[in-house]
Amino acid sequence: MARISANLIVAQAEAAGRAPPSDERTRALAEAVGLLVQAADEAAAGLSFEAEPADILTAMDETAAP
Amino acid sequence: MSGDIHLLSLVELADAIAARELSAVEVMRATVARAERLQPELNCFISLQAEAALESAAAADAALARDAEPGPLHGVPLAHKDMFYRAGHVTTCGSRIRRDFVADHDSTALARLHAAGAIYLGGLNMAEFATGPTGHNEHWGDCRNPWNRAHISGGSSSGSGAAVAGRVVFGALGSDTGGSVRLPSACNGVVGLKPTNGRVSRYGLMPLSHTLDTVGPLARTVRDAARLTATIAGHDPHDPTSSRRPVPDYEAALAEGAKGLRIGVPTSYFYDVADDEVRTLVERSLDVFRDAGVAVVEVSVPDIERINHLSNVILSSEAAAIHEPWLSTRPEDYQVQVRSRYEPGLHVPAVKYIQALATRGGLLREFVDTALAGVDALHTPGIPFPIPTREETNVGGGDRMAEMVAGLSWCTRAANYLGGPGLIVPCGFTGSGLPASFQLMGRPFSEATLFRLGHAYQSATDWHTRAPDL
Repeated sequence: MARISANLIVAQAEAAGRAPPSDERTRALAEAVGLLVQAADEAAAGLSFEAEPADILTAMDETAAP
Repeated sequence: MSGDIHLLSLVELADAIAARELSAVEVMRATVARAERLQPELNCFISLQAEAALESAAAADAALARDAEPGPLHGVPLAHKDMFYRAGHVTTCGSRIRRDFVADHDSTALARLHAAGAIYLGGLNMAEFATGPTGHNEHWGDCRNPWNRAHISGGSSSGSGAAVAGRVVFGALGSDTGGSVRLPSACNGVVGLKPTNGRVSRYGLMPLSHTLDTVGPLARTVRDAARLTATIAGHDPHDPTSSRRPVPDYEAALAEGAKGLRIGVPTSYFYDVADDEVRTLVERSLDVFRDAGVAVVEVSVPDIERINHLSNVILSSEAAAIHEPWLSTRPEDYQVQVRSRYEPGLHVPAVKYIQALATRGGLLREFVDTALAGVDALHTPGIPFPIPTREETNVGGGDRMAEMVAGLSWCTRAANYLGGPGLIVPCGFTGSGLPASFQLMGRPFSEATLFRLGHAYQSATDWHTRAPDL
């Protein structure tokens, strides 16, 4: 799993000026974010990240129905 | 005729009003009476604005009496997911937080419907802030499925699906970020379109995800959906993401039929979690297409789960960005399960978010080059299993709850990341008496082709004419 720790969750909340979640919620969040990031890492494996996000507009034009 | 007004399609009704066969007031009175009678059963509406609607109907009749040229929706009662802004009016977004929020501008989509002559009847129930595929809502009460009130109406545009299926209104708008137009369409047995991203302006729509949000119609027939889409589509200077491509005449395209078109049936992913009963109904719809002269071929599809995971990162991050102020100051005002969907996004690394955006174009090209190579549309289930009950998909709904809720959008989520359209068409009923449906996915801006296929199917079948006994 991606290394998202409970300490990181608390530190991010404090840095953003938010009240830290409860201990139980912090652990749940760390697990949820870890799973989300891990899945994204695996999904993106082997893909190039050089394209502009706006490349989707070019791709939509290229692949659009005639 | 007035006793059967609610059974007319949107196009039939609009044509009857334009031909002076029905008055807009007569129609609105019947519609309001039905809406008020069914509200305790279905809970479709968050706000029902009967008085204003009746005044608008009188004005519509007066305009026809002056020989004014009627618009394509003249006098037609519509209601919409309660997240489209109307200046000076409350738009709740299905939430407690926005219970008293008064918008200062009009949604472009609603303004275009109004300009076409449609009459606004009210704001429809929805999942809180458009988050959730089932239609549960602790703040405003669950919207209920008109085919069986124990079952979900789908989400997040729950009221739109139930109101159209229940023959309460003649069409409705919803928003779709991962299936929120298509899932309630599938749950309630109506037609629903998630248009190409950028095809319809989102100005004046409470956002959930700037990248993934789309606005689309829920309707009783494909022809109705075509008319509604033609009315709301097109560039809007208020929405810089809206496309400048010309809007085809979708209704005229229906006359071209579907003969000679080609449908692809996926050999992986979309049926992986399909129930046998739903699979059978969806596969039967392919026979109808074959009989209509449509070629049906198998196609391979790329890794859809990869797309869904990347989409989740975008949705989480953007929803968290939008909701961060309220998550900080009013966390207790969210339903727990909605807040739980947003909070992880506060902690997603920006790098992952940007990577998920950067890969969209390449993955769209891959999808079109494989799944849509040599075909005009991909044919999939709408929801891959029978429509579940509200109880089994609610918090504490049992072991299969999480799996079932996630499975609802199994076939719909990818289209929002990829950007192309998806059309839901009902295709029968499962043994529990709830609707089943198929989805047609297409290349960007291929709505006209999807409508041609859907209309050809409905021309040969009568599922869309069946109404719940209410």
